[in-house]
Amino acid sequence: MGGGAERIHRHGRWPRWLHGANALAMLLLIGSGLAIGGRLPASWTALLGGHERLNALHQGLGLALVLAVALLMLVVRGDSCRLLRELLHLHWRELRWPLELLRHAVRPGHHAPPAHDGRLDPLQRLVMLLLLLSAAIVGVAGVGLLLAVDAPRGLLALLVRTHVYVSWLMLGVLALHVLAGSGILSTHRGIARSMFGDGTVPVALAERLWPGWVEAQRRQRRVDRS
Amino acid sequence: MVDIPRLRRVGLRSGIPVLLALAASLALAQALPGFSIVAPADGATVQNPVVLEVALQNSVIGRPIDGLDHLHISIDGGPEVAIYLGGPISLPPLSRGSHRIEVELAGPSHRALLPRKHISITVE
Repeated sequence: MGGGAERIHRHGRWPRWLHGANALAMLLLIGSGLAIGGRLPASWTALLGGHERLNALHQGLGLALVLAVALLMLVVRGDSCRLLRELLHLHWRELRWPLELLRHAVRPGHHAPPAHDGRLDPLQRLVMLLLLLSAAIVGVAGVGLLLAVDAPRGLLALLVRTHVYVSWLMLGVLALHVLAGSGILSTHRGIARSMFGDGTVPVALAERLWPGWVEAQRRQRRVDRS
Repeated sequence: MVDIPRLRRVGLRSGIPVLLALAASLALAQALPGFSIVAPADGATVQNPVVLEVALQNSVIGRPIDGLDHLHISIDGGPEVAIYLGGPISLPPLSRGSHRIEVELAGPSHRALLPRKHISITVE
């Protein structure tokens, strides 16, 4: 269904590169974080360089990522604000969207793709909002741990707990993001190339997930041609 | 005639800073952690399994999530292992010959609280 010949451009080169770099950094942070927390077998931790080396990697990379994201948000603050506004733009009627999409996926002949006007679908917006929020909390708590070396035990424990528990929440949301973005689900088949490929998605998929956006793209193209 | 309210005022004025200084010094003394490697003794000849004992001062070993400290242990400069449980530590089987065991006390943020200490042992 998603493997149709006609494709539509979804993401440019920069967003794809930034997304890839962020994914790699997150993978390293999650792996090193699990090892530091004793969630990986000791032999794996030793193989990856040992507790202290992984800790140095986790702290250094985490700080670098927080600074890079903060700097990027400052440089492209217009786009950042637009994205935030877009993510916070939720309608009550959109709560039905996941169910309607599922109905359409099960019986496409009987149910039309659910309509919405967003560049991102409602579930995607919710997942991204939770991801951004949890990543921000994890990042702030992590930087707090770096700075609060001589802080009272209670504060250190609070920072560690916040960092760890919110990281688990973020991992859950990230799993949903990866599940959708990998294109394993029949509702999202063919989506992976939009971020890990040439930046395009099949038109049929785009019409199913972002009907308003596809229409806007077509209108824009007609305007450009005339 | 004794001026009680004045005495109270003077007492409070001079007493509060003294009490604060005392509390601060007590808190500082309590906050300063320390550790030493109790067994095996430095230079000792031992047999497998080697059990390491570390004595702690003003420090409790546990999970960072509970705000507690932990130990980093390295054998012969190899990768460090984190120890989150108190009590004697059984080291993995060591080959015959001399070995250097390094121990570090780390806080909840995984930073070293003190310089690391080491012992050299011979396994026979």
